[in-house]
Amino acid sequence: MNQPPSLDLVSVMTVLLGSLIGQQLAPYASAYLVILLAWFGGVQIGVWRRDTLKTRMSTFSFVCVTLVLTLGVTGAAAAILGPRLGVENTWLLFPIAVIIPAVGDSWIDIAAWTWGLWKARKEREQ
Amino acid sequence: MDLVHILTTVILAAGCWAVLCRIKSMHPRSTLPRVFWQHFALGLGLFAGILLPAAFGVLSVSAGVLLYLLLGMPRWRFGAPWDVLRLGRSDEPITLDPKQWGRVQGGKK
Repeated sequence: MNQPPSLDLVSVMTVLLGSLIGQQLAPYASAYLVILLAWFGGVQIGVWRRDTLKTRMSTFSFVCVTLVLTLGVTGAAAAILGPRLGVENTWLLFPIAVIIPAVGDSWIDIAAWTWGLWKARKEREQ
Repeated sequence: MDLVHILTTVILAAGCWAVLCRIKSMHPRSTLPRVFWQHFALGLGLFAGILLPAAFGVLSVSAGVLLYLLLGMPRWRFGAPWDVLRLGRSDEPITLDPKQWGRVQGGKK
């Protein structure tokens, strides 16, 4: 019995690119294409959200840093979260790649808050 | 990769950077969301034009431009928006046609 085709963005891109660049390269190219497109959408949201008076990082630096982070973290994050959420990793590539640059400068605040929570928990345990 | 392809990539990248610089000067509290989404659609279309091959790239750029124009349509509903009108000399009164007066006064059409 034929299974219905997967409709996630990566699979669709793989089909579209397969005829253009070959079936061997298409799965890799489609995954990173989806990540890059999502990254740019997230960068636009992140730049819009930034408080330019408070931040010290220039927009160009923000773009470069988020690009490196998104390319490095998205695959791993999707591989970790996919089994926990019960979805295929390829479904998570787009949302994770949007969220990382969209949150942008707020990651520092989130990290500080998480650190504070962890410290408080350790102090309660002692 | 030929010269036309390289030039196209450079021009599209410059367009993406111009869109980012405009978005940088916007702020969620002071800028209309529609203006942000106009530029979001345009920027995404231009960026996809760099990455996607051949006809898909042209399609994405075209879609981005069309969305930019469609989202900006309400501003052009009654003619050119006031902020793009050429103003007369400071000692001359600015004349408005009935449609523009309607926009100034507000109320029903």
